[in-house]
Formats: sequence, structure tokens, C-alpha cells
Amino acid sequence: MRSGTTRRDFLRIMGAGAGVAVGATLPGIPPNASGETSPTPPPPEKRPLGKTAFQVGSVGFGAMTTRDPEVIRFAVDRGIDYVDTAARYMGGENERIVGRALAGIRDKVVLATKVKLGEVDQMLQTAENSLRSLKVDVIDLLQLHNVSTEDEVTDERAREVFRKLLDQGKVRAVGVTTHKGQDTVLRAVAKHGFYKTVLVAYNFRSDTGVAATVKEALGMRQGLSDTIREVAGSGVGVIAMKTQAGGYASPPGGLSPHQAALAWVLANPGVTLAIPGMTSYAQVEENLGARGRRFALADRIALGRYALEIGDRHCGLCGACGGVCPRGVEVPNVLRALTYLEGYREEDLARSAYGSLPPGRNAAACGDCEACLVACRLRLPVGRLARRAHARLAG
Amino acid sequence: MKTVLLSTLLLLAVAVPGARAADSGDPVLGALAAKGGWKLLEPVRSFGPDTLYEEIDGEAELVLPYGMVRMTVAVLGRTARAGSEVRLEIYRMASHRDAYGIWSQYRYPDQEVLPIPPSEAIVSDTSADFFRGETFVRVRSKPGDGSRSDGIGISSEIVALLSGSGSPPEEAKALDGLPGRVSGSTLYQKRAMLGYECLAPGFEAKFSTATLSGHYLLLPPSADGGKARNARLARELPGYREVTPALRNAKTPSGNLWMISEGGCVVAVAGKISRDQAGPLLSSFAQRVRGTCRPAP
Repeated sequence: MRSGTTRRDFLRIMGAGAGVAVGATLPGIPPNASGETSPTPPPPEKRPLGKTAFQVGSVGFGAMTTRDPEVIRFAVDRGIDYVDTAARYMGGENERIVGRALAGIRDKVVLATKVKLGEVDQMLQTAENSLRSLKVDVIDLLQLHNVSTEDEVTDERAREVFRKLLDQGKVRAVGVTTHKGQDTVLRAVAKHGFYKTVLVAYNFRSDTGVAATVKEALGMRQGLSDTIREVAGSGVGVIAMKTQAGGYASPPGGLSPHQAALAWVLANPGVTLAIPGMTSYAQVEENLGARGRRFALADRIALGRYALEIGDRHCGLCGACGGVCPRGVEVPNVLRALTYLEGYREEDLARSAYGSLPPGRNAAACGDCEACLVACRLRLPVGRLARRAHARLAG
Repeated sequence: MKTVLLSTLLLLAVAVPGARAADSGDPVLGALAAKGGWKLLEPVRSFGPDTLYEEIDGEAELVLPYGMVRMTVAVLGRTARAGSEVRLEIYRMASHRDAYGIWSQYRYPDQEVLPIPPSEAIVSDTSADFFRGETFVRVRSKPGDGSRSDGIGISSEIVALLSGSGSPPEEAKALDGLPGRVSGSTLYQKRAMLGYECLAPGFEAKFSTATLSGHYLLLPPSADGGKARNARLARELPGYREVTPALRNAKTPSGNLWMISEGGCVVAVAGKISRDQAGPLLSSFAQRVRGTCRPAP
């Protein structure tokens, strides 16, 4: 059975049809993005992280872009019990930030970091540096960073390093992280058994795109969702990253796409926890709001609507739609301006980008054009988005 | 049937934008090749915001808010010396301010910084990061003899091929001159400052004097003249209050946040700072930024 996570599948699974409009809300969404604390949330439901000894909540803290240690402390105070960093993030500074954040609260979290594959001495040195930067005696989960092949999963240099660190009590468990060749890596970890966890890029856009669709049609691969379920069933702890599919802002007054995206990831029973990146108090609150959600029908419909919203706005800025419009609209630049506005929330930049389009090249030229001929490789409704850009940015 | 589908797949691969085989890379690579001295060791690859994750791991989350347009990866070696290997990541960003912003995210106190006119690079034995105009460049050289000179050498050549300013934006320079500013701590933040999204975008620097430590914050003018931002600050900052018509205060986990307006900017200090202590700091800060406050380009 094919059950990849194409957008169409997602909509079908979540029960959303065209034209569905539902005003359901998900509990836990802060009424505004204030960072002010709402009542303390209930303790997270803990679940085992594969065959490690750890029990963790479903939402962890991706610290990669976090500058302010106070945000991490706030998250731990709110019940987040897993913090992820890496030796290479911010040139090493990120581990020091996490180290400062966890002073005095170290025992409240499972602390995960990463080391790149290299020579044994080099990897050991990196791990020692991590211990110093994090100001800890032991790293709970040390992961082999950015693995994409089975050969890397079985690389003897990494195993030697990890065995040594485990024997020395400097590391409690070992895993891998993967961005490319994820199916291969997941299966290799399950097959070879040395590593206990896989950190995998997984969101509602996983397995989309032309190549994935054709491959699936040819029976050349299963969807990532299936692979995750399968390897988790064999005891591998699966952690999801990049759950937000682009980090889009919440629409004012609307429901949170971030929560929807996160809830979608956590709906896969093979995923033990997700680690969205967080830089602000508001993001912590928002992500905590997705914790422990069970899907009611209204939630499914609302999530379907979110998928449409997120999908509609997620211009990849690939530029492939340039030079196509018969009316001369500079579609890539129009969509870029809209992305600045709705994606990055940079109104000044968006207005500047839109305003710099030559006369006749912005979406005013769409005029009464009824059937937009510009095709998007992400299948975005280009005509509708161009009109939205003009409505929001012209003048 | 499978043959038809495979043919379709091949056709689509050719038609899909950004197909790697046809990647022509960044113009600066052509200019570098024309100068001689370096040769490509691998095919050039380029990435847009939707594919950046494929190449640079989770750090894409750090880059994307700065309006990345395109990133090109090239691996080169010196023609005159076998074994040398340098990896370039050339990021074309939305603006000079954004290029500085992402560069600042890799800048920390105690790093070595070298001038590579008209820019300066954060360097180590195997790395160099710099920006000029709207371009941010990361250089990573293969460890070994000559790795440092390879990294700095190619950085100097590339920076000369780029256009635009190699200096930080005026706002960042204003922060650089403030009392007690910790060298290498100035940032341009797009997502949040002190953990609050309402304080971004803005410039931030740490300071430490004999008696005080904390953060300087500078929020550039906003498009609406500040009305919406002020309302948002009042709504989202904990314990926000107007102490006087000119002075505002909030209580954050990072300490007292004291804010005043100056020429459309908001200048602020945060830390364990009393009102009396904040006064002189804000006053010299406001004087320093006078005339430099302008909206984001």
C-alpha cells in the first residue's frame, strides 16, 4: 500500500475538502504572541525514546537558532524536557548558549548534541569540546551529524568513538541525524542496531515533488511516513526536525499553521518527539499548544485548511515562473514580495520589493485575466497569489 | 508502462528548474575563473530557499529570515598546488543589511577578525566568513598545510569581485561605539530580540561596564512611523508601562527593559538596570544614533 505524505494525501487524511471553512480552534494557542505565560500546562505525556532509557515529552526544543538562554530556560520551566544542539551550530556558540541556559536545571532535560563524522581523534576532541561548552559531565544523546548513506551508519571510526565515550560514561546513548537519503539511513539504523535514535527532517511536505511522486508510482520507494512507522516499530527512537516546513508566521487572528504542522508530525505514531526551532517565548507557547493533541474531526478539518494556507503561501522563490506571463508580470518578484510580507513578516522589505517593479510589471497587469498561464512547480495558485500581493502591497 | 514512466521522469528531471547538471552557479565564480589560479573540483550546485535544507542542514533556519535569494556551493582547488581544497558558499541575500545580519549571526566575542578590504572576515585556520553588498560568503578550507592561506586568499580575491559596501550598516556602527560594548557581540536580529518577536527586526549588542551589564537594543524606524510597533510593544512585552511620556519600561526575563524613541528609532537597554542607571545609558545611546535612524531598505 502506498501511503506517502503528498499534499493531496494529507488533505484526504485530514478530511478537508475544497471550500471547507471551519472556525475551530486548537487549545493552547496563545491569544496573542505576547510571550506572557498562560496557565502552566499539564505535565507532558512522557514516552520512551526508542530503546534508550529516556522518557520524553512530544515537543522538544530545537536550539539551533536560539540566541537567548532565557528562552530555553522558559521552555524548560514550561515542561519541555529535551534540548537539541550541535557542535557546529553558530560555530560552536550554540552549545555555550545551551550550557548557560541549563545551569541549575540540567537534570530536567535530555540533552542532545551532535558530532560530524571524521577521524577518531577529531571526533573525540569535538565531543570533549561539547562537554566543556555545555558545562556538563555527560551528554545524554550524542548523534552522528548529517548522515546520508548506509556506509556512514556502519562507519567503524564513529562506532569506535561512540563506544569509547559510552564506556567512559561521557555519553548515555547514541544516534544519528539525517537530511538526505533519509529512508536509507532510517532502515540502516534499524538493520544494524548500533544507534538508538534517528533525527529526521519530517513535515507535511515530506515526500512531495515530482521525483518522489514518480518514484512512488514506480514502486521504487515507500513514503517517509511509512518508513518512520516501520523503523520505530523495530525499536528505533525517531525524532522529527524541520517540522514547520519553512517557519511561516501565524496569520493575525487566525489559527496557527505552526501548530497544525507540528500536530501533523506528531500524529505519526512512529515519531517520539519533534524539535521545532524556537527563538522566542511566543514560539515556545505556540509549540507547547500542539503537545498532547488528539485529533477530533474539527481539528482534522482545521488542519486541512491550514495545509491549504501553508501550501498556498510557501513560495520556494525558485524563479522558475519568470518570463512566462504573457502580460509581462514579473511573477517571481511579485511572489517574492508576498513571501517577504507573509512569510518573513518584513513589510518594509515587501513594499520596497513590490514598489521597485517597473511600471506594467507588477500584478496590476493581471487585470481581468481569468486563467493564469503561469505554472508553479509547487502547484501554488499563482494568479490568486499575485492578486493578493497587489492588494496588500500596491500603493 | 515502466519505460514510459521512466522516460517521463527523465524528461521532468530535465524540465525541473534548478536541475543540477545545468547549474551555472554564481557570477562571481565566472569572474574568479577568468582570473585564474583556482579550478573547480566538483560541479557547482545552487539552492533556493526551498532547497537550502538539502545542503546546509538545520542552519537553513538561521539563514532564511534574512531573505536568502540563492546560495551557490563550489569546491575549488589551487591550480598551483595539488591537495588544496576550498569550499565556498555564496549567499545572495535580500539586502546589504540582511547580508550583514546573517554574517553577524556567525560573529562572537573572542573570534579573530581580519580586514579583507573593503570588508572584514571572521577567520580561523580553516574558515573565513565575510559579506559585501548583498552577498554573504562562507569559506571552508580543507585542514592541512596552507588551509589558512587558502581560505584567506580566496576570500580576498572574491571580495574584490563583489560590489557594494563591506561595512556594517550605520546602526550597527552606532552600537559599536557605545560605552562598554562587548566587542564582537553586535547582531542584526530578524526574528526576535531578548526572546520577543515584537522587538525585531533590530540591532543588539551586549555591554559590560564596571558596574553594569546587559544589552543595547536599537529598533530602526518602521513603515507606519512606529504606531503599530508601539502598540505591539505595549501588548506583547510583559509588565509594559509608560513611566513618562518619553520613557517606557517592561519586565523581561533578561531584566528591566528601558526604552525611549529617537528619530523614529526605539533605543533601549536591558539588564539588571534601575531607572536612574538607565537614564545616562539611554541618553548617550540616543545621541549616538541621532541622524542614523532610517527604515529598512
